[in-house]
Amino acid sequence: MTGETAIMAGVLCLFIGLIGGLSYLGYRRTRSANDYMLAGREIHPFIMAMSYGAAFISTSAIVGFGGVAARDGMGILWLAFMNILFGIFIGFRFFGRRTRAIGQTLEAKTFPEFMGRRFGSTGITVFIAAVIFIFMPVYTSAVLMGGARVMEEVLNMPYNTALLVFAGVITVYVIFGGLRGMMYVDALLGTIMVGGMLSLLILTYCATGGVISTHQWLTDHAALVPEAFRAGGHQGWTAMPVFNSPRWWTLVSSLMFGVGVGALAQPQLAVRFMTVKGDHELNRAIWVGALFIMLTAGGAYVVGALSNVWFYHSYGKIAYDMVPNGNIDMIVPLFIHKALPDWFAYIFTITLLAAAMSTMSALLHVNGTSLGHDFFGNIGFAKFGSVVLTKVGILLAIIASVVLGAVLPGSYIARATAIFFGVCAASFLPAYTAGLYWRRATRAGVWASMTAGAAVSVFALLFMHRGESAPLGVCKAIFGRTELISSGVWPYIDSLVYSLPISIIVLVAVSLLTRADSEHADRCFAGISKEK
Amino acid sequence: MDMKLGLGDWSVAAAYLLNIFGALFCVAYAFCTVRKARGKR
Repeated sequence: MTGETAIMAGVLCLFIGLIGGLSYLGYRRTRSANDYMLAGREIHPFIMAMSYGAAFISTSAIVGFGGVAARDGMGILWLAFMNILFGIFIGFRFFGRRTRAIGQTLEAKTFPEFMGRRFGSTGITVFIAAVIFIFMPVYTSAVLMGGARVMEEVLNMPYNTALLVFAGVITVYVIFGGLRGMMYVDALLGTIMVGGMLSLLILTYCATGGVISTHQWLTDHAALVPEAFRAGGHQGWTAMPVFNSPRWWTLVSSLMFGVGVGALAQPQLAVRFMTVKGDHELNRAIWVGALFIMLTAGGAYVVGALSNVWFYHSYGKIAYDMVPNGNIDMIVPLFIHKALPDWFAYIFTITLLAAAMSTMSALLHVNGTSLGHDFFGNIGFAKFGSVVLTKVGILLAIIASVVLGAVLPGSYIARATAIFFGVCAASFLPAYTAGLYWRRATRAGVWASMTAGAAVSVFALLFMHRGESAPLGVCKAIFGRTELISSGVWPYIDSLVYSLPISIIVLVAVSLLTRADSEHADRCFAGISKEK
Repeated sequence: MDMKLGLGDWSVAAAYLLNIFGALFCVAYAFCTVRKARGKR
């Protein structure tokens, strides 16, 4: 056994042992469905914030969006800022407090149940659970692919084997530990991520020649951008794309708007607000979450862009030209493998695996609770109990994700993330916001808004946004073209730009035209009134 | 000092700095609200 392999084997054993121990601790402390699905509503703010951040930032952010940064440049740092602003500050301060208070009043254990009880409709619970179960495996598979790509590149393991090993380990600890065990593990994984990403950022700046000089090199070598990218609006790695160009719309509408704002309506994140005791704990969690996002997401985007400097100095090529078939999902793993010392590459693998595991487990848990507790539990299977149904749901979700992970194409991770965040935002964000702040919102209004948001999103995926409509091929099969409107920048505008306003307008219009149940709304907001 | 940090575009430099100052703002906000809450008790 070589020295590096021995280090890797030792670190992996320690890593798996710690995860096993924390899962067992969660398992021992889980006695009820409330514990299994909401960690008993008494989680420490540090654990909650690390779990929220670790669930939020996955290998999609580090490998997928890091690859996007390597190809498109540092404009994507706006996404990291949007994540801090919307995902953390607005999320914790304006969404978290009310979600926790109303959720406790309604005794809701999951996001679909929260929405269904807030608007007095089991149908809403079932609908949201169905949307989550249909679309979440797309995102889960992207995260899974990110983790598997890392193992493939660094451990020299066949991709499909990596997929199965990775999925198997996560399934075991999610099923046994429940949300409490998962959040304990997330706190560990989140701490590893912060340490790993901070080290990577520092080592990358050292390897490329320092902060300002490396940035300056990228600025001075904008001419290295391939002509095909330049035609789409690329102006260099330290500049935003040309305004109103295809690349500008992709960055602004799909990434900044879709993923940045879309984070507010993520069921796996919203449910974490209900795991703490009070507002004080949420306030204490804000700073941890913000620093976490800055170091992990922001760090990954900077490293992705800077990898061009190192690849050019070492191989005379930019990052995009280093990977086969322009598969940008492979840029960050390749950079770590080639540019960093072997011992660090092996240890950093743990960071990437931690990022993938924490998000995967959060998605699997939400997928399982949605399918088991919210969907099956409301259509006649309640006699089996929430915990058993959730475990069945987790198993079905992992099967769907592994199958998708094996068949989906490369360069897909960032796009799958954007799809899921966009669909969630269009379908749930207006209804969720109204559920927290607008007593006049009605059940009919919420139904209409969610249906309109989901329908417009799916229509756009199939017929409007080229990034999805071309590979899906439905538009081509019916109309003989990749998208319905090919003129100008239309094929590059993310559906959220029009699906979210439509969803908001429908919610307001239908709510104002229908009768509100003010007594029910007063009951829902009772917890908030008491705190004031 | 070059406030663009060697970054070619003001908007990219702004995003770079906003990440740092946005996170610091959240730290300050959490510190102030927690102190305020302790003062009320």
